[in-house]
Amino acid sequence: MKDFIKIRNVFFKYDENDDSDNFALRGVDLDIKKGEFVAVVGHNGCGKSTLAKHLNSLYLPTTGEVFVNGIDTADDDRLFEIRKMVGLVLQNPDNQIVAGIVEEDVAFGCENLGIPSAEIRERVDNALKAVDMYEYRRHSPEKLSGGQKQRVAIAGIIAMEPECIVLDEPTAMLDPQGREEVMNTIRKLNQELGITIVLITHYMDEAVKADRVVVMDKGKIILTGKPREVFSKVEFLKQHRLDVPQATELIYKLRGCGYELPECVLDENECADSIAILLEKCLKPSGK
Amino acid sequence: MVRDMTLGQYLPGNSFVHRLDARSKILLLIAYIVFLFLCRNFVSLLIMTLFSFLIIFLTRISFLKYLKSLRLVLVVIIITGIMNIFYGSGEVLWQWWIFTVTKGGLINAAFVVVRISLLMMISSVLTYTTSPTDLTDALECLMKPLTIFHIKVHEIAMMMTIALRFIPVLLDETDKIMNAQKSRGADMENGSPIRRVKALIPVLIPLFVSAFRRAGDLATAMECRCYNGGKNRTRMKVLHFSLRDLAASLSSLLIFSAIIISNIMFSNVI
Repeated sequence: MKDFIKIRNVFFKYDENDDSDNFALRGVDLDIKKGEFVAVVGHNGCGKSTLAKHLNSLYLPTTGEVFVNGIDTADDDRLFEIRKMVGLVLQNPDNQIVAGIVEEDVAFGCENLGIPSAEIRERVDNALKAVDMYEYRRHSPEKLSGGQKQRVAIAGIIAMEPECIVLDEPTAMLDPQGREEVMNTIRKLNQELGITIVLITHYMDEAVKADRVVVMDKGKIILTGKPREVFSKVEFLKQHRLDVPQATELIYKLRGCGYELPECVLDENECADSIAILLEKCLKPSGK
Repeated sequence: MVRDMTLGQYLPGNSFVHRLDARSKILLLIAYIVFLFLCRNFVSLLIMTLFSFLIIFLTRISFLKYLKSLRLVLVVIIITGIMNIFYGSGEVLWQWWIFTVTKGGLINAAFVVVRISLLMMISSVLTYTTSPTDLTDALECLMKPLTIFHIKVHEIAMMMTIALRFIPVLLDETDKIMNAQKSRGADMENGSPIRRVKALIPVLIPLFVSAFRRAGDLATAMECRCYNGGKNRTRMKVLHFSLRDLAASLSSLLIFSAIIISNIMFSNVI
């Protein structure tokens, strides 16, 4: 598959006049394919949010280059083209809703793009259906739960028909139920509409669901691979002050105690299954 | 406490009034206010009151909501009502020390109370039945002639949209900060007025900081959605003047003429 986003040796510092070595990003190289679901993890201040804002040219690299579908993000004339292709959803759902009615907020992006009224109507309805918020279209956002608000924010981006959605810790301010709603929506968009997803998160349980996990620390990418490959390196992640999913951690600790368990499990079901197999094995000899 | 505020709140619906063009609603409201203050005798005031109740009935919104909007200005209504009782001329009905109640005063008071109440309720009709975006779109449209004076009409309308959107958010936040400060031992209910105002400082500073942070986030979100200051912007809902608006305007015109006629025919009391 074609590379949709290419990040080439990007260095970035917030203050251009600052001569010290205060880089938020230090030589990031990353390719993201069309239709891929990539999770970027790392602890606070590792540069993952900064990286997210490079993808739709909110930030421009101090040195290095970012290409979206072959367009350099530094190309000022094609700014809106890039932002139309790569939508960004932020952490706080309250702060990114502009209008006082759900459907009018979803329409905001399309209105800015100058799309004819009838087509906006259609796009808004489809976007709201895609995030399962259609029946709330006439509501005012402040009456919605956090998860619902975040889905409205996602609908506002989908209505612009982007090829890629970047989500910057979209679940950090939500309760477990809202988190699940948002994660289900994200996966649905990826699988059914084929939208490329870049999910910035610090919940490892969410990263597990991605096609590929990118681990960042101190402005660099330190590890990248399929979730199973990444989370099997428990030691390495711990060294960089990162957690692994709870199920993975449990199995890792049991293995440390000498139990025969698979090298890496990712979720509760796998964990339960592998422990069940182990128990059966232990019980059989004594049962005879 | 702050949660009870109903001012500026939109109650979605599908009534005749809801479906009127926001521009005609704004213009009719302005005309309504002018004629409300032109009512100079009981007959015209009665016509206006009946007309107001008809409008309220047509919105299909519970009358309780309108009474709630009155609660906000209840103090104003009571104070101006009482003041008016003692200012007036004509037949003296009751006198004590410097207080004199006259017939004229009583009539003035009655008029003021009815006028302010109707004014509040009918203004609420506009905000209850018009979505904030429609409202600001309509204002943008009505103010368009001002662009020749280099007034940035689109920007003003956008600011109003955002302000309306964030009023409840910031009210919520105020509540939270107040509770946080109270739980740290801040005393906001006791002491002299000056002390109480001072006690608000630790509420206002975090509120401002958070408002600026929200503004930064919102600006980013708007940029992400290709906002470029209203150039080549289209609308999902296009305002259009329909037969319904014509009917509403004509019937209002009829009522307003009835008021002028009754002002001429009956003796004016105010």
